Amino acid sequence: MSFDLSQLSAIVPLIIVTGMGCLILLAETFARNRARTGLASLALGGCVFAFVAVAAQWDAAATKTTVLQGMWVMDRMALFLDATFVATAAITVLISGPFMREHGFEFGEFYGIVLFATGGMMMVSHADHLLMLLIGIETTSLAAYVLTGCWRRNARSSEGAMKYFLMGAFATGFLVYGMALIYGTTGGEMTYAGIAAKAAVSSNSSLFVAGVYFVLIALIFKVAAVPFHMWAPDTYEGAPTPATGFMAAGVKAAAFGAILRLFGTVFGGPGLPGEPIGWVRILATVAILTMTFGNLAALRQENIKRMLAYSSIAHAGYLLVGVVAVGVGIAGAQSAVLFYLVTYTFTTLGVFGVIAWVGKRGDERLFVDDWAGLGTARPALALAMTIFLLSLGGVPPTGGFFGKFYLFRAAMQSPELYPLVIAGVLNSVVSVYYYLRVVVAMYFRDATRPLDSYPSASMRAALVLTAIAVVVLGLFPGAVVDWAGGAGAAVAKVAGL
Amino acid sequence: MHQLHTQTVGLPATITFAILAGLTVIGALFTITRRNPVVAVISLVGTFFALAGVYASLSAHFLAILQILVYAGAIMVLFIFVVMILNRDEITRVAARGMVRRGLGVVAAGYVVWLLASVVANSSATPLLGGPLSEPGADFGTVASVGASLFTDFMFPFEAVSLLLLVAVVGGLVVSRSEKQEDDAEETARRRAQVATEIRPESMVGGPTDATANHEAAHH
Repeated sequence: MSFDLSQLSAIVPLIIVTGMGCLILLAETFARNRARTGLASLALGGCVFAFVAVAAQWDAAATKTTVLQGMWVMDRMALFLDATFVATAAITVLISGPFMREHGFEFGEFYGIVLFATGGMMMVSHADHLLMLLIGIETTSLAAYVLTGCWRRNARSSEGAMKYFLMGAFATGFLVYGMALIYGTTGGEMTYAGIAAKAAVSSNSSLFVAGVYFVLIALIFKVAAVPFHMWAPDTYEGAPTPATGFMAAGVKAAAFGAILRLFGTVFGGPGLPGEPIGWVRILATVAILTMTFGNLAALRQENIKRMLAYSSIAHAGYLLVGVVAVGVGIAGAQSAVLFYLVTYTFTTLGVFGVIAWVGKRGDERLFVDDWAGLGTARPALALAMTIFLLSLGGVPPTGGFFGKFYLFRAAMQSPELYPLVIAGVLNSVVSVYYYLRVVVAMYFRDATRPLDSYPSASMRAALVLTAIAVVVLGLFPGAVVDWAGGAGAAVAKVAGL
Repeated sequence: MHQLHTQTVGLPATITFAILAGLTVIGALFTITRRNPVVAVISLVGTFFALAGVYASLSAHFLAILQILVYAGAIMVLFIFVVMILNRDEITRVAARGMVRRGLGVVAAGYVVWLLASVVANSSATPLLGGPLSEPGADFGTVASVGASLFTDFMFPFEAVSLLLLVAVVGGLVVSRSEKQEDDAEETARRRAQVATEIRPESMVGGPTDATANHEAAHH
C-alpha cells in the first residue's frame, strides 16, 4: 500500500493536538506572564477541535481499516479511547492553569506537553505495528516524566519524576527486548495482523513466549499493577496534582488500550485460547494481587494523594479482571473495560481536581485531617468530592457503580473467573471504608483551620463537568455503553471471538 | 533454527559474534559496577563499539557506522563533558539499601538471567517460525536501502519519532529551567494572589494579612 495524502485524514485528531502543542510552544516564547491564560485557552480549543474530529470519524470507522503502510489502525475502539484522551487533556488543562498560578510555577510548555502526551496516547490506541506502539508509549511516558518533575521547587516532585523515569526506562527496555524476540521468532513480523497470523505456530517457541511476557511486563508496569507498582505512590504523590490526575487517568487508559489490542486480539485469538502462552492465568493472579495490595495499602494512608495512588493501583486490578475476561474469550468484555475506563477517567480527574482546589499557596492540605469541616466551609466542593469518592468505591448511583457492574458481569459469564469476581467485590467493599473516611472527615468533623482557597472559574467548570459526567454515567449509562459496545464489538470481530 | 545455523552461519561468524557479544556484556557490566564515572563512561564507549561490530556482522553496515558516529562519538563526548564539568570523584551510592533488599535484587536478577538462558538454550530445539530466513539482498544495510525503507514503509514512524524527540527536548528545557524563570513565575503568582486577596470578600479568606504573610514566607 503506497502513501497518499488522503490517508492523512485518518490522523487529523493527532495533527490537531500536536499542531496545537507546537503552536503553544511558539506562543509561550512571546507570552508575557499575564498572557499564559491565553495559552490554556489555545490548548482547550485544540482539545475541542480534536474531539470534533474524532467524532466525525466515528461513522466511517465502523469497519476496521489500516492506513499509512499498516502503521495506523482506524476502528471504533481507537476512536473511543481517543475521545477519552482528549477529554482527559481538556479537563487537565482546565485544572492545571489555576493550580500552577496559585503555586507559582506556571509555564506555557505544560499545556504543550499535555497535548503531546495526548498525541502519544493516540498513537498507542491506533498502533497496528510494534514500532508505533513503542513510539507512542515512549512519547506518552516522556511527557509524563516531565509533567511529574515540572514543579521545580517541590523536592517531592523531582523525587517522583526521578523514580518514575529510572523505572520507566527499565520497563521500556523490557518492551523493546520483548518486541525483538517477537520479531525474530515470527520471522520478521511487526504488524499486529502479521504476528497474529503466526502466533499460533510461534507459541511453540519459548523465545516467542518470553517475548510476549516481556511486552506484558512493560505494559503492566505502565498501568502500575503489582508487582510493578513501586513507582506509582511516590510518583503520584510527588507530581503536581493536575498532572497526577492526567497520569492516573490518561496514561493508564492508553496502556489498557494497548493491552486490549495486543492481548485481546494478537495474542488472544481463537487459535490461542490463552493456553499455549498461558498469560491469562498469570494475569488473573496479577489482578487479584493488584486489587488486594492496592486496597490494603490505601487503608493505611493519611495522605490523600498517596491513598488515591494506591486506590489507582487497585483500579488497575479491577480493569485487569476485564482483560482476563477478554483473554478467555467472553464477548462484551472489551466494551466493559472501555466503559470502566471512561467512568474511571472522569472520576479520577474530578477527585484530583478537588484536591488541587482545596489547598492553596504554601499549604497543599493533603492530609485527611486537613479536610475536616469542608462540608460546611465549602459545601459544593465537598459534595463534588463525595460524588467522586462514591464513584471510585462503586456505590450507586454513580458511574463507578456501572463500571464495576458491567466489568464483573462480563467476568461472571465464565465460572473459571468466579474467584476473580469474588475478590473484586470484596475489595470494592474494603475500598469503601477508606473513601468514606474522607467523607466522614469532611462532613462530621469540625475544621481546625479556616478552609479558604483561591477563586477560579475554570476549576469550577472542570469540577462541575466531571461531577455531572460521573452522575450521568451512573443514571443514564445507556449511550456511552452503546458507544463502548460498538467499540468493543469491532475488536471482537477482528479477533473472531 | 538448526537448519539456519548450518546453512548461513559458519563457525567464524559464530566466534565473531561470541567475541563481540561478550565485549558488549562486559562493557555494560563495567559501566554499572565502576564507581569512577569516567571509567564507567569509557566502558560504555566500549559497549557501543562492540555493538557496532555486531551490527556490521549482521550486514547492517550503515547502522554500524551511525552507531559509532552518534553513540560512541557524539553522545559519549557529551557524557564525558558532563562528568568532567560535574567533577565529582565518586558518585554517592543510590543503590538499594540493606543487605536483604540487595540480596533479593540479586536473586531476582539471577532468576531472570537463568530463565532467559534456558529459553535461549531451549530455542534451538524449536523451529524458527517464519520458515528459513532468506539471505539478505546485496543492497541490504546500505544507505540507499535504509533511506528508501525509512521514507516509504516507515515514513509515519519516522515522522512520529520527531514528536518523541520534541517532547524530549522541551522536557529537558522544562526540568532545567533557570532560577530566574522560576522567580518570574513566582513573582507573577505573588502579585496575582495579592490582587485576589484584595478582591476576595473577607468572609472567604482567613484574614488578608494572614494570606499575604504566607505568600511572603513562601517567596523568601
